[in-house]
Amino acid sequence: MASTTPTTLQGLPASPGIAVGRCWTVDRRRVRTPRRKVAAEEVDAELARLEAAIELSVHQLDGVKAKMQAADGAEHLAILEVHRAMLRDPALVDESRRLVREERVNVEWAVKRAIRKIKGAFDQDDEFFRERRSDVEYVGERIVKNLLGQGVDVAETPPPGSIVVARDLSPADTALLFHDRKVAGLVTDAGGITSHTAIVARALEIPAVVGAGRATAVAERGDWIVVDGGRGVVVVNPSAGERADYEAARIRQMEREAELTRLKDLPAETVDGVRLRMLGNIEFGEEVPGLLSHGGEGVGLYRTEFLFMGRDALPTEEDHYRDYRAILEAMDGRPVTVRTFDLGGDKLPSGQKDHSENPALGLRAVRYCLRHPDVFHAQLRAAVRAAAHGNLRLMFPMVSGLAEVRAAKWMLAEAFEEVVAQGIPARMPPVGIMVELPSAAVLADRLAQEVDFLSIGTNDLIQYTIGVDRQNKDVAYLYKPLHLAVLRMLRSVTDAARAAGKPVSMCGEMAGEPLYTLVLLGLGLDELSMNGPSIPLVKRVIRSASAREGRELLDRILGLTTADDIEREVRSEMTRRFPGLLEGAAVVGPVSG
Amino acid sequence: MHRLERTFTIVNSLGMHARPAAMVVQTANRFRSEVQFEKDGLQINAKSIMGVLTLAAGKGATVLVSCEGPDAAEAMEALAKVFASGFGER
Repeated sequence: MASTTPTTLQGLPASPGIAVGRCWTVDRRRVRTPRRKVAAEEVDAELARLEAAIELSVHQLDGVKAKMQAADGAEHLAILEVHRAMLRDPALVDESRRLVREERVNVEWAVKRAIRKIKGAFDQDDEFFRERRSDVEYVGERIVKNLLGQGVDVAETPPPGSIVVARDLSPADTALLFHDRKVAGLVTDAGGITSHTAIVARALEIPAVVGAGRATAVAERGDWIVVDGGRGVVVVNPSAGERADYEAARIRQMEREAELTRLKDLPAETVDGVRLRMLGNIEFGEEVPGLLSHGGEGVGLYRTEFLFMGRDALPTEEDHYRDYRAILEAMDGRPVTVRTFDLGGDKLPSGQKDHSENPALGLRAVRYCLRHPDVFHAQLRAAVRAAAHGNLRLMFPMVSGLAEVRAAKWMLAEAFEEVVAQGIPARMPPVGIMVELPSAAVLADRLAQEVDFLSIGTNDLIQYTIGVDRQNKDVAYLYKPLHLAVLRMLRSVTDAARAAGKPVSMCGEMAGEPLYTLVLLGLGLDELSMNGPSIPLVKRVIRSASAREGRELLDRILGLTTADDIEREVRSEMTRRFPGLLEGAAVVGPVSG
Repeated sequence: MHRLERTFTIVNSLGMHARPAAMVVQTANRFRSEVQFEKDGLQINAKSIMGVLTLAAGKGATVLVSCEGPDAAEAMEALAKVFASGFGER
């Protein structure tokens, strides 16, 4: 009997998003496997039935695959491929045949026993083996159902906007139910967040809760149901108020996403036509999809130190090469700025320690690399090799003067020539430096002559300029990005780059903080590099501002003296121009244009 | 009849999960030779997806591959490519 009392179930958050709709239960009945003895003269007929059932099963899976698109996720197609391979696996087929021949059991029972034996080999309690056990089970079930002439896959198509509720779903069911993207949400009683169904739901961006326990017992076809995939909550028969609340939350979420998508492909261009490039700071290749989804046009800072972390041996040239190449290929022709190791100080390979009194001023970054040419050489070789496969740019950190730039470039040329002489494909990448020491900022005009681009690392530049360690609670209050000395420093760098005709970017935290965006526009930076999620907001500010008002604001604050006065001025200007911005709410202003 | 043996290291971060397993089984099945994988004392038929999956070879694991038969060298070469590519992953 349909219950109208609201019931809330807590499951596992498998795929984020909110869905509100009518329940569509899918009944996957377990098959009862008959058992009987077969006579000697029946054996051949039984074996022929097995052949036919496998043939039909392969045909069914091919049919499911044909309905899918590559866009449904490679993992999804791969699982169907695995099931297909399992159908013809000698471990299954030979063992089933043997049981029919030697033990004279019917083929349904033989398949069931062969499957049970195979499952025994996956008898370990971890996610991978659990998933494989269920793969084996689905495959066996398909053969047995086909032998018995029962329907295997879901035959009915749910009405658009339905929420599918099932005890569990086979990968084939999942494919058939979701491939046309008309289902609004999914709830299963069983399953974990790494189950195939959960992976597919995430790939297709369908809100889903798995492991909800007894959803099929509570919900009936046609009941209202809410799926909050981000929190793993399911509400069956929600009250009118609850439904309205969730519906409102769903619409808000959709609007936010629509906003993000709309901005994603729009250029970061001011109303007076100044175009900036929005780049991302990343540490792992896994961050690339997120960066692209936020509209990242390249990688402005790829930190390579993590290759050192948590391992005893130094990373090899191959480790670097594979890593860079994978990122270059994932970024598909967009620029990827590889920063050579910023090691030393607090960041050293396992087992090494810097015992110097003052590591921040010690043997780190490019200094460390020049002292350990073998470590550096492997990285440079990998970089020139990877550069043959994409738009790689190389950048040296912590440069204090010309000698270091020349030494590093010399080593790069040496690595390049060595690789080329070995007949390995390579390309000489554009070379830049991080401007993060006051000495480099002051010498920016000279350094710009030696390199292809400059990138300002504001975090360190601010610390070294003001002489303050922001981790030190006693002096952290002195850390002021809008300190007049910092602003003058920044302006001299951007002026020097412009005079030399070299592009200049910023990759510190300042770049991703919308409070500073107008000031940065005034400075005339070519590229801003930040964490992916910061891109949309900064881009909105750029798109509704003019470079001219940025320059005017910059001129105004350069006329002030104290950091507090400057910050007050910037804040009031930003609040006036972009109400709500600094409270984290959406910026008011034109989006298109 | 010639028997070849060679050790490969799993280089992709996810290891020999479902998709790579299907890939190596497909490759092994293109040849007439017998192909066996061995890892941690467990030996399996590389033409069996079930077998390959039971190895659950993660990143950094080494797998001893042996090929025996008329086209053993070709089979080994084809498998070497598959392993070296990290199964087309990273």
